[in-house]
Amino acid sequence: MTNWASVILMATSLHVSAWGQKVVSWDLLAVPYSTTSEGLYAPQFPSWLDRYKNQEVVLQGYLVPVDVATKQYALSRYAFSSCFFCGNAAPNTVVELVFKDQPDHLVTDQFVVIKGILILNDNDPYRLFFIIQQAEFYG
Amino acid sequence: MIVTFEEHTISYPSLDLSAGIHLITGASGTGKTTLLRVLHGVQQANNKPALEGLSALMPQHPQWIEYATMKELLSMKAVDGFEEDAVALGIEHLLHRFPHQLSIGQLQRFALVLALNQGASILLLDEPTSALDDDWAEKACELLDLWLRANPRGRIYAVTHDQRMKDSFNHANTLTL
Amino acid sequence: MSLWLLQWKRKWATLFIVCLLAFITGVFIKAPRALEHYIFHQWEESASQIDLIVGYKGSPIQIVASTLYRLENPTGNIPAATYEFWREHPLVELATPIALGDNVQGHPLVGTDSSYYPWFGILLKEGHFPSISGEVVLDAALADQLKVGIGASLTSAHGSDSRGESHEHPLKVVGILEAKRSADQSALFTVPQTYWTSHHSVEQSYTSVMLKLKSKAAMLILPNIISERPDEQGAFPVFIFGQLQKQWQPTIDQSTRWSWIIAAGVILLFITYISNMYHSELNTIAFLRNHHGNTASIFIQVFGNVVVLMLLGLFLSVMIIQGMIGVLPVVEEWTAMLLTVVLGLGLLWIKLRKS
Repeated sequence: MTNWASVILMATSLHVSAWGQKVVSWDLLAVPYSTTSEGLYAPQFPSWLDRYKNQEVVLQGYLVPVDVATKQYALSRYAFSSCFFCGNAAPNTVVELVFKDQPDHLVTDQFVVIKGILILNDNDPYRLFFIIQQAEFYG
Repeated sequence: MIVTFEEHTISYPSLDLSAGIHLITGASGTGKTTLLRVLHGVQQANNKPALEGLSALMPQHPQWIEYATMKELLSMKAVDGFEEDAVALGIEHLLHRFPHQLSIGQLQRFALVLALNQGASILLLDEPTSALDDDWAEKACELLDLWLRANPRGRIYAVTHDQRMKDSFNHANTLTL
Repeated sequence: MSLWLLQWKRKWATLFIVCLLAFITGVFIKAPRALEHYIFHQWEESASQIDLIVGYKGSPIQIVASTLYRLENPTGNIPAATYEFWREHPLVELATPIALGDNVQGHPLVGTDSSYYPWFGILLKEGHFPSISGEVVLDAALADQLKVGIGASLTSAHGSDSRGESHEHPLKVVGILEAKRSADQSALFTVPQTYWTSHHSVEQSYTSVMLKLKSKAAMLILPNIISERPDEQGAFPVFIFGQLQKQWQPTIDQSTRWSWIIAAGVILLFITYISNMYHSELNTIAFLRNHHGNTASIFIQVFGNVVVLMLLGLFLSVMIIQGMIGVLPVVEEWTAMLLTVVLGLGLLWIKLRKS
């Protein structure tokens, strides 16, 4: 039942943009994960994510500047101001952004569409499950 | 001699280029002042008559540098020895004054001193005696005469309506516009 | 006396006009930036090291304001076990406990361990850092203010103001610090044990824990963990500042707009001044023209010193602005000032050519 639901979800969320990038929805990224004995999270990437792996994707969400000094940003499914600590935010609702060109002065919760290469991180527990490399603003 | 400006054309009788003094007369508005300015080169015109040598212009209403004394001003543009002419025209005691402290007649005498002492070979004088009384007008004409003697190849083109000047130079060529 | 020399007497005011132009454009263009720098950079600096602060359930702003700036009361106490949990957590690189609540003559007493001092670049000038209960250290200026030196005794009171009830356990000054942040310059530091001794606590507790994480990405993994733990509240200083920045940004943008308008007004005034300067030299220009002066020579004689005065004025004002604000004018200012000066001189030249 659950599998069927995810297949339907996948079918609705899977579409290709006019320029050939794969548009990714947050539902697609809501992968299951387990907690290791150390208390870290380990993602379990389903096989249907393979087709997005290392591909150019488009994803929309809210910007979260995690380090203003070094200009590190993440993209979040939920706005930070909508109670990040109430259980809304999970490791699979945020994506690490590695910008192609260092952006200038981004504001928390700015709603943006990002284009870049989707990396599935299954070996570095200190980084997020998903990383978008060569990220740039789309549209 | 036809001189064309941007907007209009003035037709002048041909200019006598011989040495000596040339008096220019004519009703107002016939372009006497314009002619002097064209000859001096401060007014742009086509068919500008070619004058050989340096000209000095004494305008009818000379502009002064209001923040310079007459001495400072003359020192800028006149050659050494101008004081002699200043003495002759009775203005040597006014050299330390500013232009606004002088009468029109005094300023006219200064303008004449300046014109005579620029080392020019052509003097273009616009009503040089209009503001002078008889004594100073006579003195001015004497100085012009002296200048002509000292500069045998020199030329003076003087626009004048002043009978005293016409009398002083009754032998002069007269150009009527 | 040459005309060039006479001109110095007439045109010296240009120096001040140009300085004024540079000042007003400079200050008005710089002020919003200085404000921005002050608001964001200073806060960012003190927050850049601290990825996360964990406190008792409550307002994140209150946790940040109390832990980093002692501007607020803490949200409550967290047990020592909580500190241990976070210190041991694999994503945490460094954990510093903070105990707050007492004051010494109105100055907050911060109970923490030795890891606190390097966070904020606090140096020891004299003595040693506190190691046992009752030992305190404080900034040199505060020591002067309280008229205490090493070996002096102080008494702490409960609460954040000096009217609270005094504790029976006296404090002893063991070291003098050199603190960088104003929040640290006006606080006294001790070990957490001082709190436990003076309060006769059954349970050892803190008010918050400052965390440095092993990666910035970990910041976004931890909220989930914190929300699963009872009575704990996480606060990200960088996000709190981000929110503040969002609040301030329109004000800064507005003042930036105004400063450009004012600068434009001053530039217009300057052009008017230049135009008037030209008109005050009409007689001189006519005189020089009648004496075979060409445009270039007249320009040099009449306005040459203006060029010198303008450049000198620009140079002087840049020096003074740098001395006052401590930063060189930015490219925009330079461009605005230089453009104005060039525009002014160009105007003189064009008018002169037309004469």
